[in-house]
Amino acid sequence: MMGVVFAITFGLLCLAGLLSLVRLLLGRGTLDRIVALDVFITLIVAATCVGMGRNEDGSNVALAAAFALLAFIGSVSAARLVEKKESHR
Amino acid sequence: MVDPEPRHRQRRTRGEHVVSRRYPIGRAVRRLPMLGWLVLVWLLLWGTYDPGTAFFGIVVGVLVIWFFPAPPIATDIRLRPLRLGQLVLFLAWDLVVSTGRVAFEAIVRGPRVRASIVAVTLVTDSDHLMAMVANAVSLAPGNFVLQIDRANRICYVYALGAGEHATERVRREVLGWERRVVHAVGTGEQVRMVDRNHRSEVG
Amino acid sequence: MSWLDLFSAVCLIAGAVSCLFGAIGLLTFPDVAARLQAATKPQTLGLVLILLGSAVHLEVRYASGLILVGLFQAITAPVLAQLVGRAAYRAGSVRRDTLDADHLARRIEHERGRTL
Repeated sequence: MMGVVFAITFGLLCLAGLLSLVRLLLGRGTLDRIVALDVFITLIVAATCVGMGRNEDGSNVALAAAFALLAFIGSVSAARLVEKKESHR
Repeated sequence: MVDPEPRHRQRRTRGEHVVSRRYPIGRAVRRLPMLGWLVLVWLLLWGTYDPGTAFFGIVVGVLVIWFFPAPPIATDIRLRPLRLGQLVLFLAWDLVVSTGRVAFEAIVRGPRVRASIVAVTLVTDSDHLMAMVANAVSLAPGNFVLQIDRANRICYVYALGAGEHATERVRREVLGWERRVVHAVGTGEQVRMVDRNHRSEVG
Repeated sequence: MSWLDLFSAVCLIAGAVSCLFGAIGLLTFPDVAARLQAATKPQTLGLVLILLGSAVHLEVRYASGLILVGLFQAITAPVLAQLVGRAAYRAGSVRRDTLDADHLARRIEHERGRTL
């Protein structure tokens, strides 16, 4: 029974990931892409956790934590870069 | 009622706390919460709770504080655990409501969504409180803080799906969050300030 | 299926649906600022729910690490929203025609006038 739940969850996350990838490709601007990428990485973290729950093995916790932090640092530095570029124009 | 002015002034001189460079012990004590937080993160990351891990956590924490000193911030925070718990519950509930509202806007309105940018002047004047209010507001339904003008205590809030009365509604929401945050961590004087402001708004 | 499993199932599905709503908002909203809303709130709620749902199946020592992940997300999402939102506004990526009121525009005009 739990197997079905995990499969549904994973499917929904994949769908969400696809949608955010569409936004990443369509973009319209660097900031749109940064936001889309941030969402995508959050979804990866979520999917990692779902996988850990399914296998009842939590040795990937550090991976999830590292991903969550890296996503934040990456997005913030990219956003700051965009802002700096704008102010120099 | 007694005139509150003298007491109020006295409180202020006691409440405001100047960062001392002359007393290293005081400075070390002020960094203890930071150390505690770092050790907690270390323990959570390892997932093992024994004295050895805690010891190395303390060593690493001290090294981190030593090599990457955070700028000293003069502040005076008073924790009220009950109010803080209330605040966290409010935030959690607000997150659920805002998810529902953003989902509604996304599916029903989509590209035709309306928004406003509203300037709100906060009542209190403190770095920590302002940061916390901004974070809380950013979790509230359909809002986030676009820009902060620290010197003039103004938050510029971007509000999604706002109608004609948006300006007033957003202002009231932000001030409400400020009241909750101040009640959770503010000093006695700040609590009195927000309450006075609240009474004058309502009455 | 125990109560714990039921709790976990509800959390997982609700979290995934919330994440999906966020992604839909990311696609349908007209500008960066509105998309940020979709990117931060439903994602945070979704991730926290999914963390809860999977933490139930793990040993305590791993589950505590998941708390950390949820805490990071809850703290960093508003910060990111503020940074990207400000950059978007300054870059002119916020569409003015969707705004009913704009108190920041006046302010920035004022700033420009002073620096020039």
